[in-house]
Amino acid sequence: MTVHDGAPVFDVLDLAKRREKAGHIFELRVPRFVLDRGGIVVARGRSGCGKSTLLDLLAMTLEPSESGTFRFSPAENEKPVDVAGLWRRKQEGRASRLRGRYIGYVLQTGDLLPFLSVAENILLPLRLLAETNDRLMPLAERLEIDHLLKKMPSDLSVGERQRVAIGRALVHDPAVILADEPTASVDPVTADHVFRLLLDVARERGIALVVASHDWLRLDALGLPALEHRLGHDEGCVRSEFWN
Amino acid sequence: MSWQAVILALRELSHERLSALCFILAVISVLLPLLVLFGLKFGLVATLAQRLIEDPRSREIIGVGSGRYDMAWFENVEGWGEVGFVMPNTRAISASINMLRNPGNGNRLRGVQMFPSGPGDPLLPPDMKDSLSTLVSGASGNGIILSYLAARRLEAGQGDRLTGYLQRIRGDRRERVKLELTVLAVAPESANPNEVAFVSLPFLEATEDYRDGFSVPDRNWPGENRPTENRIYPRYRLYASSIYTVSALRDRLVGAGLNVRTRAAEIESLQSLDRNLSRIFWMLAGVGTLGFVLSLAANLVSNVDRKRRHLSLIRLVGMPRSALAFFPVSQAAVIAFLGSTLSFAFFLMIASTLNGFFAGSLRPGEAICRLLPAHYAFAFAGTLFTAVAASSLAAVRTARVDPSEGIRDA
Repeated sequence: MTVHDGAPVFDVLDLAKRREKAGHIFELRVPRFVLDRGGIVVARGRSGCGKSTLLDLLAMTLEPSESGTFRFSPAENEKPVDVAGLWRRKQEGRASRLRGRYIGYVLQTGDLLPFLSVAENILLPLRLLAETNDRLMPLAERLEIDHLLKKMPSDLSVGERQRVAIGRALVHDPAVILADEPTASVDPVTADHVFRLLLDVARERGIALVVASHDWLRLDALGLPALEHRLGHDEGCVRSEFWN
Repeated sequence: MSWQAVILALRELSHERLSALCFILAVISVLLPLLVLFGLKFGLVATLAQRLIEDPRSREIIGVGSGRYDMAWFENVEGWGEVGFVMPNTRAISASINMLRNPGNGNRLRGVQMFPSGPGDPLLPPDMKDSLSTLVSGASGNGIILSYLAARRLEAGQGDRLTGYLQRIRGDRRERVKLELTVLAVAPESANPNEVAFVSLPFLEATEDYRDGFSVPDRNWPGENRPTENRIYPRYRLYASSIYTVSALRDRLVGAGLNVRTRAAEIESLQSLDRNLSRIFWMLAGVGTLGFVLSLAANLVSNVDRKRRHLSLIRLVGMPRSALAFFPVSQAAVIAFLGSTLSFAFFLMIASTLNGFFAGSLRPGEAICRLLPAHYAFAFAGTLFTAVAASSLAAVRTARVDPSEGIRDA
């Protein structure tokens, strides 16, 4: 883990999201979470323990129920953004733009837009930012998908799609990548390969990485730092906590 | 950012051509019957109303029995605002030519009924104005306008010369005079369906005098001297200025003690038929429009629902809610545009086929099924508005869903 100077990418105190579904209350609590620039951390826990909810809170797509402190500091020389304040002021557009510029998201099934080619899917974040860069080819070569660029997603295997999704998360050089079970839908051999690639590229570029996974074995083998996690029940309420 | 949403939306639409085609067909399947229904209502009712207005017989006032009207009465009535055309008429029994013969081919007609006519006669088309002027100004009074059927029987046309005979019985002697007549014009079939002739009033008066046994010095017809008292006419030809003044004119004449018959009742029943027909059409159209709006809205809402995953993904990559709304809205707009354009094209084909079926009973310029440019504009704007409103409602609903939830739940 590389630690840089300046404010951490995420600086969170007392963040919570409560959800009620069919009479059951689920609460995710984050007493403290700090992610340094270029830092890598894993949120492990079994399915349904709120890992995805955590990532969505960090991605600023989900409004927290409580937030003591929630600061996002995407660039080293800029003032940290008060995300809790953004939600209070209903600045959804600003949150979307921050997400588009500084966050890369990798989903479990490598969701791609079926009507765009592989190259266009990778370039989508840049397209929405109205930016261009020459990262596509080196990135595609690094992810071993350079021969697939002209194909449509429906022509790809799941593993290939997952690598394309990783390319999409990286192409705009974000400050942090949020990866939600990035290898859950591929076979173990492919999973190792894809996960390795993700880790290596993030490290090479100094991009912070938060991975949610239920796969203890693979994570232990890689020796990655994990968030503390506790799952408790009391009075019809399931409470899941993550912190570091 | 918004136009990126539009571009992505169009890319998706062209990627899913089959489903786009289905949406366009759905638009056509509800819009097209509505257009045909409106086209029929508009074409049919407009044609009926126009015919009612144009048919001079619907403006005619027919006197029942015979009366006694002098020239002063006619001059007075002519000044009434409700009157479009008025002309004295002689006794029916003497208003006929005993025999009309075309010397060119020997064809002949017996007992040809005569009607007094002149400029402004509503039964004769405006382009016969010159012939009518000649008819009333002809000093010798030998001009005649034949009805369509009379002209056909005689095989006579404009400019042909005819020979006519008038007969009378004076004392115990049968007498007759020969007339040299010139065909000034042939009236259209709509003017009168029988074998009749339109002549000048002086000619009719001369005929009546002759039949009464009097002499007609202008024409060298022998007989007794006619008393010099003012002429009294037993009948008239009277037309209201429009179909809307018929009942007022009728009331005025009845108020003056005349016994008349009009088509006022028929006009009223036609008008009420038109009203009822319109109601039926509007009810059908209302139900059809409601169905159209609902089906279009339902289709587009389900379309947006189906695309929730894509929309969520695009949001996750950084598109704000406000810009994302352009995605389903621009798809709906394209579907509405193509759907209505194709509907218009199909409508024009159907309308021309329907008008072809009815061509035999339509006059030039009439159509059984047609729409005005304003109707197309209204249909287009309505379709576009419905599509955009429905899809933006659906888009707002989708945008409320958290992007990651849209993906994981799907």
